[in-house]
Amino acid sequence: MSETCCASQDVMLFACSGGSNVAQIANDAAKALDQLGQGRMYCAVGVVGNLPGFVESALKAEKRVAIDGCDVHCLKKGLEAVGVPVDVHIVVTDLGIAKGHHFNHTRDEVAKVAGAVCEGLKVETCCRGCEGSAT
Amino acid sequence: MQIQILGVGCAKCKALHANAEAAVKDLGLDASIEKVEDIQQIVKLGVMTTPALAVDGKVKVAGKVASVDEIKKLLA
Repeated sequence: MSETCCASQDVMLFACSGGSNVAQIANDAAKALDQLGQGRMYCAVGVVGNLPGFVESALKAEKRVAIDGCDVHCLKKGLEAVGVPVDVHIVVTDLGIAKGHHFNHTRDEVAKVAGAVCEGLKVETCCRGCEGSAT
Repeated sequence: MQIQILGVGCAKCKALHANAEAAVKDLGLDASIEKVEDIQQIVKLGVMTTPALAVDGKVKVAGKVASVDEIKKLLA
């Protein structure tokens, strides 16, 4: 595993898939990360729908990433409502991408979100490691 | 000429890098070979499977380790 690779653990990726550009950017970023081996995209609707097998699988993952489209945070709230904690939370609009009811997003916008997820995973891993070695 | 090897540092990416170096050497090209391990850069180039090889910003090979001969054909 590369030092720059963020998928050193069992990472489960959840993405918003709502009716806006930012939602579809979230979804495309999760797809790209999955295909590039940086995690495993999983059915967010199955989990927030509280389907037992889906929730159980989500709880087994070492890290759970939620990519929300906007600051309504539907995905994070939905996951937490069924008892699934979120380890890394990325919000597309927090990255300076404006929400709109269109689907004309760019590859650069998807890349920005994918990069933010990797950064988030590195920070999370690092911080836990530092805590563990502090004493 | 700028050659980029895209991937997160797996064994296949290293093999593709080595093949690209051999191809450049065999052809006597004046080319730089850059490793791109940053996910944001990889996604920007539209690559969904690695390893991949891009020449002057255009993806020529994705999802496989191209042989030295295959790379030479791409660069010639």
